Amino acid sequence: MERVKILIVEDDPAISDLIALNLEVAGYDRAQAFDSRTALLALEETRFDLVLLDIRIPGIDGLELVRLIRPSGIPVIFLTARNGLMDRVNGLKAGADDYIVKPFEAVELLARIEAVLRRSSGGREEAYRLDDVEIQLTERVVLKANKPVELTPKEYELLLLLIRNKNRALTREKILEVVWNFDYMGESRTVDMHIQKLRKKLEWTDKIKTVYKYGYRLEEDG
Amino acid sequence: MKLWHKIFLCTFLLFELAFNASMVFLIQRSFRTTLEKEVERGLNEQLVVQSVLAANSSYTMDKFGYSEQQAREFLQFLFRDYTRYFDQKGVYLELLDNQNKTVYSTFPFSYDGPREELANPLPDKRQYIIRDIGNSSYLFVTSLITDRKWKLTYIRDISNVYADRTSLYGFYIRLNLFLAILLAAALFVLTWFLTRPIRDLTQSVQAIAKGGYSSRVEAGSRDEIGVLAQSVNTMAAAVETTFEELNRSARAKQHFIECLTHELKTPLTSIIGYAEFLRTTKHSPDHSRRAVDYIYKEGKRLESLSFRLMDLILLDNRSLPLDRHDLSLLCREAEETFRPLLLGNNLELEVTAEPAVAAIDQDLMKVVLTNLLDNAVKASEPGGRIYLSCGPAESGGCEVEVRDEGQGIAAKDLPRVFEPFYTAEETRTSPQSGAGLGLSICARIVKLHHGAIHIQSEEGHGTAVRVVLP
Repeated sequence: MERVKILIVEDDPAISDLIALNLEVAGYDRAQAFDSRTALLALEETRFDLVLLDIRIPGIDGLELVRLIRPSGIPVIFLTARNGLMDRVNGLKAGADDYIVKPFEAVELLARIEAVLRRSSGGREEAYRLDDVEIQLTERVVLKANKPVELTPKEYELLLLLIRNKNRALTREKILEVVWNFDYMGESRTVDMHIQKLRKKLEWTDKIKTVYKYGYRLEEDG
Repeated sequence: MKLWHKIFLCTFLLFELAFNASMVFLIQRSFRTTLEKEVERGLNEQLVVQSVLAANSSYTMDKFGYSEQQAREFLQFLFRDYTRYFDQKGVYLELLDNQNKTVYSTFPFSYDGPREELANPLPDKRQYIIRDIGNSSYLFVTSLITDRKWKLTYIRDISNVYADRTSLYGFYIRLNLFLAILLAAALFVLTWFLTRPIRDLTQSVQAIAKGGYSSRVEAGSRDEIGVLAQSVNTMAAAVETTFEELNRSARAKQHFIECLTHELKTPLTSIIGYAEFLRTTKHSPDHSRRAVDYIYKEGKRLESLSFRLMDLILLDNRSLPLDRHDLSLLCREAEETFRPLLLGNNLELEVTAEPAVAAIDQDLMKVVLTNLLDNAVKASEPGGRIYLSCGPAESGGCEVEVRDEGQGIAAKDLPRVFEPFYTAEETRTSPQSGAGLGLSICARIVKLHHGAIHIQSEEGHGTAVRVVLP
């Protein structure tokens, strides 16, 4: 599968690098542009799958840039430091697919990137692979060495969450929030039990790492 | 009720009152005069008749020894003569004896009311009274004929005097009606026109009151309303100025807060983001070094921002104890401080420091110099020159100037460079640019010294900032 390319348009080098690092760890290809002119040049040269765009960039204003990117059909996610409602409304009106308000958590950003990519590819992404485990999204089937593995719905959701955030530790709270929708407030034992089951069923005892006093992380070799 | 209605109504009523009063007075007066004349005439004519009758009766009675009966007849005869003469004029004569029995009368109307004038009429004293009989008014004049106990009453129809008065009143009422309509129309238009400036003024003032502080009233006339309009304009101008001042300061505050939020959020986002990255991901040593590097740098950035903000806030509520110091010493000191930075950026600093003593706060003045030199370093290309000079100012006092040959500032940005957080578009991209507080801190400090700060710049040719101290 070809790696997804993401263009980061952000004038603050610290923030830009931070996003770049997170994308790198999550397994995306990325390029950085620090103003709208270089961003446009980069877009002409390379085919990107997604643009992360800061509203306040030097040169052409971010909203204007969205209008220029729009015809190419590349999805755009706005990064905005201002919580102004008008900013988001204008951003979405201008044709952004989503927006995220600074300061944001990396998990949040990655989840939004996932969602936007899924929408724009029209469900093109049908499977995740990690070693000998394959998850077929449309059929909701999990294969281990091409043999189906029986998972409960919650275990399946948990596996998806882990794989989407591979190489990144997730707190038990975050896992509860996403998989159980706060149904089990403070019931982090539930998370531990499900993690154990997954480890057993997929023989991933060493792959799903316990991060001390924090949570769990699914690690990809390499 | 509107003012112009009031004016109209008052004027109209006053006129009507005065006009009516004077007309009634005039009519009544002329009526009285006419009546008096009529009475006078009646009295005279009665006197004539009476004296003739008296003369005749006494003469005949004395001379010819007429009996009373004969005298009566004689008088009746005389009477007829007179009445013929008087009849056409509506004058009647009546002769009564002392028992008030009618001896002779030409009065065609019967009147049964009391006859006060007949009561004890004295000789040579005529009594008269005016009576209404039927639809007419009559003047009754009565007197005795000599010592005879005969009473001569002269009756005269004076209805025409009353009729004249009535017709005059009728005419006057018509005239008044006509005049009132004419006057009302004229007054109405006139008061409406005269009060029109007030209405215009009201409209304009309402427009101003609704928030149109820039609109002005037309002050055309030079009367009281014109003066009022001018005063309103003065007031509106004052309000507008105040309003704009408030607006401006509110906008400046809003801008300050927005910038501050942005300035705080950006480093915080980085620090939190990198810390989270380190905490949650499986990363290489290279990654972690970069992350820690950024955390440190952004932390330092926050620190300097908070110090500068503290400076700005502290400067606001501070009265300075100023001592006299030599500025040239400060310049030398600054030169020392900046040497490593200048070397690192391959820049040259040229100092021209003549002795110049001014009342300053040393620490704060150092802050000014540091900020200005800092800006000059940031603006300069490697190999550039920076000039620092101080000495007596032309206008008296002292001056310090920092000049560079760097990138300069765009003309559109110049007026705003002393605002907090104001940074030119182009400088925002450079990683070493500050939060845009430096110059505003300088301006505050110079203000505390009762001095002035001037900036001159040309894009691509450099910038010069001059501080003049009293």
